[in-house]
Amino acid sequence: MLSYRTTGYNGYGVQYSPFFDNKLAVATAANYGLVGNGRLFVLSIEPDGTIKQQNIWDTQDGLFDVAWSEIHENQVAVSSGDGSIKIFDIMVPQFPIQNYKEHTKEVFSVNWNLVDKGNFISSSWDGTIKLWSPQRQASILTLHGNTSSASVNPHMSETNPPKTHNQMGRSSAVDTTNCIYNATFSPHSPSTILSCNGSSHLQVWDTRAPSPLQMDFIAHGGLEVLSCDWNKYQSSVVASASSDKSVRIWDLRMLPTITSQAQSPITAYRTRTATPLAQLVGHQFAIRKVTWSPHSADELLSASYDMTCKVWKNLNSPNIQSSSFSTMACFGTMHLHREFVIGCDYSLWGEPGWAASTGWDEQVYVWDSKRLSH
Amino acid sequence: MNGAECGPSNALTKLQSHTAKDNSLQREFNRGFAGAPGQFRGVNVDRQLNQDFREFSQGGRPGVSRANVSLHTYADSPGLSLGRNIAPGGASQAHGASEKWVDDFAQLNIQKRDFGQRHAWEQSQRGDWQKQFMLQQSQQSQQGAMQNQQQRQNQYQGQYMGQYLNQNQFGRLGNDMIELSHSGMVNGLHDNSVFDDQFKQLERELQEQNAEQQQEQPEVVYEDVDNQGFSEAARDVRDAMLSSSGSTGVKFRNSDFFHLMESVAEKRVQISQDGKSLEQRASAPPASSVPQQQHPNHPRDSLKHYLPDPLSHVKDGALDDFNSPLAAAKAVSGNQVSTSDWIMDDDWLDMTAAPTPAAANASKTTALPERQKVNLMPAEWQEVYDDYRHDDDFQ
Repeated sequence: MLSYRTTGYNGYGVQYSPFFDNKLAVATAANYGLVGNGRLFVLSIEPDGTIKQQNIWDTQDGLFDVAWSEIHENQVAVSSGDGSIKIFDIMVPQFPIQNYKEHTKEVFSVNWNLVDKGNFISSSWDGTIKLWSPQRQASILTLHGNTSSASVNPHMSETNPPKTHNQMGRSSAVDTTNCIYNATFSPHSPSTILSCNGSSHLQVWDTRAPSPLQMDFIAHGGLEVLSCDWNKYQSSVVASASSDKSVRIWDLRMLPTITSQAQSPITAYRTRTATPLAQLVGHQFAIRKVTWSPHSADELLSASYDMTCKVWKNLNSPNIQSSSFSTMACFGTMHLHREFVIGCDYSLWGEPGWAASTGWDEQVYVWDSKRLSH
Repeated sequence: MNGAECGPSNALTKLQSHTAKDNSLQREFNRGFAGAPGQFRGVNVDRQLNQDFREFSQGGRPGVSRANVSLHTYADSPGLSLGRNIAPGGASQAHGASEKWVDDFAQLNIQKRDFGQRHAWEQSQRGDWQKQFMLQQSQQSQQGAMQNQQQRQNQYQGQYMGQYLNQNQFGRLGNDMIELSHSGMVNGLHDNSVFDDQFKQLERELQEQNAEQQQEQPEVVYEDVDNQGFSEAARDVRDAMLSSSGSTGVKFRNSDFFHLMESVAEKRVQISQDGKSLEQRASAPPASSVPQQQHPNHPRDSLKHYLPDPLSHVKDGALDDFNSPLAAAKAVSGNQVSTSDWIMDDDWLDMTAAPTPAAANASKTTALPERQKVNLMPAEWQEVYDDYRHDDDFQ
């Protein structure tokens, strides 16, 4: 177990470098991201087992997510609370090499395309997903997550489910209905995007299509979906994490597409209330981050507001079978964090099972998920 | 073939044959006198001479460097060429060529050469004086010539005529331009001063407007709007965290974030007016329960502006000189602590005790005045109390 303290800054996102097995990028924000500055850390895991700071960059606003470039080993993109997206280069201290400012509200996630590698996406509280290229000053494409205004088909006005009591109670204070908490590229297709938002929708987009929205369904019964990720081995399997304290696993082949829904006489929000392959319950608070293992088809990692990380595995069979997801269960819990755990990631080039997590306790932990206690 | 060619010679045919005669060689000869600039006028001139003349014209000769610029200018100008060693072209030589000969000889006098602009001015002046002479001849009046001169000069001088009578045209023109530009600058400065005044007035008006807006929207309103919602949200978070039980509940209650939410819910901490940091309210109790994070925007930083620095009178680096608690106390108190007041034993807390043997020994090493060692209790009670204070086994 290795650790590093991001003194004065609360962790929000962590990601292993796709080029080096010992580099980590950590996005942080002061004052828990409520107000104040942000700082990006690039950390290096030394052979003697220590974690050292290689680079830091300060930003005007808190940083909420981080994504390494898949095409340039020294560049990393971050999303900021002021609506901007910045790209930093390890060889360029102090200042970003790119600064994009199109989002009108907080940018909660940034994700690099694993297939095309030449572009990345961001998702924001303003209800949009934007496609970017490091070579361009402006976004290439903007997807509007608010399906009622996207006018993809006439049934879209019925896609919003009845709000729960909890949502109605909060709606007067902070409206997160249109907030897209996470958007991520498929590792199997260069143009397919999965996103989740505050109105419990899980959406699949194809950037090549004239009407990009391909699939839209309610994943967690009306509660906010805070994170989603593609299975790295099965192109149709995704996972979503919600404020209902559960992780759900979905097979997109079992869900109706937008086209089929438009032709169906059944009310849209009923058809999109889909049934997951599996539901993973065990966290005591909302789950902020979920990520599939790059080394195993039936293993994923979740980070929660209950100050823990949990590893979920198929404990019965190691085979890569679609049906095995239903038997996934909590393999172990990481209890070291003393505040909310916001970000986590699996190591790509390290030993299978190595993971990193960060949270509001100003700590970055690098740990081995195989050694977790049940 | 017409009849005139077949017929006998007459005046018409002679004229026609004369005009049709090929005299191109003669014309070529005459053209050769005009020659290219910088060359001798002649068809059989040694090339070496041409080369020497070019070098001479381009200033290759010592002693003429001062006029290099004008020489170069003249050498490149048409009509400048040396006419010696050239046989006259005979009757066919053009009259204009003879004039150029004169000019060339005149210009070959290096000492009289000047910059091209001055030469042009002299040429024009000569022509002008010639015209004026002709005008004098026609009018037979010196006064009339002067008037004409003034009229001509008025073209360039305008209102500054009398000031620049003895200067050349270019000088006058240049000075006129300088004068005009200077006057323009003066006008511009005048305009700038007017603009500055206007801008200052606008800035004053904007400042007054901002002040009025700030008066119309007092800070209290801002606090009530933003921090009220923030406080309510923090209260919800605090309640949610309190609702958990078990080990998670324990962790929550030990969380810094929970303490911060508690402080915000109780309005001891709020968002600063610029919205960039959290700060303690001025009327808030001491921040014992507020999480103390070491980052730039922490509320504790904002308190630095309100609390006096007790070491402000101590120079930088001087703290290393304070090797004893007494020296440090003197420095911090600004020499309000004297050596006579300093007590090295914690028995000074016991104001009621009679000097015990230990205290008596200790008092020898201290400067505590004996007048403070007043025994207020009976001896037996004092003995009980001393036994209690000095008994380490007392539970």
